[in-house]
Amino acid sequence: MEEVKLLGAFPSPFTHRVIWALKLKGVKYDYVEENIFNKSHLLLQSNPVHQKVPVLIHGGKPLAESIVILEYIEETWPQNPLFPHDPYERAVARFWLRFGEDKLPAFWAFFGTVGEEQEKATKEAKELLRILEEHGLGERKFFGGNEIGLTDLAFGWIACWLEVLGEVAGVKLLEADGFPRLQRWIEDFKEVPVIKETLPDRKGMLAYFRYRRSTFIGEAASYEAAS
Amino acid sequence: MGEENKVTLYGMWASPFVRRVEITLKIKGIPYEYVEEDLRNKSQLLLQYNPVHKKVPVLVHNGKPIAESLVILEYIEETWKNGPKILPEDPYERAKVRFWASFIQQQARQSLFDSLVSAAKSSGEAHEKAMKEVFEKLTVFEEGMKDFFPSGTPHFEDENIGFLDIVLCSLFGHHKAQEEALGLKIIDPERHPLVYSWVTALNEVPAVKESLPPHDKMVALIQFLRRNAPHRSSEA
Repeated sequence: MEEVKLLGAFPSPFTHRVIWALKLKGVKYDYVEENIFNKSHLLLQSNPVHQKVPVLIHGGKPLAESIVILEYIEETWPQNPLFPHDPYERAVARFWLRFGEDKLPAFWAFFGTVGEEQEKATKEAKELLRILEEHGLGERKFFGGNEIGLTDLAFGWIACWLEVLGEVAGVKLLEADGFPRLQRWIEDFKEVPVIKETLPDRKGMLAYFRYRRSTFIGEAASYEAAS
Repeated sequence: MGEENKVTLYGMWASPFVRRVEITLKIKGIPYEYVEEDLRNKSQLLLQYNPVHKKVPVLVHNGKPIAESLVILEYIEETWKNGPKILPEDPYERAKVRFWASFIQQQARQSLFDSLVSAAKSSGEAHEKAMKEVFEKLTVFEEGMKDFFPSGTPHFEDENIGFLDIVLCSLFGHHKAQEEALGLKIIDPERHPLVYSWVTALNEVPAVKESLPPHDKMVALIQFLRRNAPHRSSEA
């Protein structure tokens, strides 16, 4: 059995996607918590292109990009499948995976902005959430159908990071009755045993993201004050 | 002809994303119907088939639509099991291909065209800066690709091209038209010899050659885009 090592960081939703996939499939792995402000030599060497977590190292061979890692995990450890069998259903799942990744900067722009720019970014994020609500999730319990799949893991950040980012940035994205399907999905997602056991500590997340926001808006706020 | 395997591709002649799908269908020998879309006046069918993005390409197989070029490529690979494979068998090698395809896709989507246009529109320091950005991205890619071509220059006998080849030639196959329209050298054999020789070799493969948009038409379009949409991406 070849060694599996995961380089990650606790506040990273990307890292958690991989943790969840490995746990759901019962794959044993060594976890290395990276300090992203002081990255290890191993991380920089294993992911020279992006220099980011997560990185999966299987039998000494490194892989970066969480979505790429998820598909690799699915193909290497086929037990408890997280991807549909039918090619068309897979194409639909991959479409949403791609949507999630391509739109990520737009989803999170509200976090790094203030004032008018933040209002605009918040509006755009809500439109994207609306697309997920109506087209992505539709009538299904999970993105993956009756059971969670890779797409659910990829959107896992909506289940806990979105609310934390929103609190730190002073923005409410999922208003009370605005997104009933997504709200229900969040509850169901957090109840899945593997997910429930591994959700990151909320206090730690708040502290970390407060720090990140202060570095983003430090400049923006002083510019706003000056103009 | 029966309805069992009806394949329709909704596209636009200049779109690199559509070209990827065309090349893939050709090398796998899959018969298909092509529908040219006027992107300024999109058809009802297109909007129905791709309500989320409203873009080309869309592949419709037996009435079921698939959007996003890389998703379509993987679908074709998994559905038509006879014929040449475009992805490696080994999961790790496959993951590496997907990683680089994702890298090129991110760079192309975000900023490559914008950088090129701003380089074309600027001079002096601003021009240098914009070109530097483009070259840096190409260099990262060039370095990464040495892993795929340890012996240097790529050769493609028997039209044996794969996922990454298709992604690359769709974006850069018409670099001569891009270079003429923008007055810049983008794929320079001295700066990026591997990418240059790779793209040149790919352009000789019949399926790729046939799918190249007409040079002069492409030059005219890029010049038009440059004049009229300075900060828009080239995505259809």
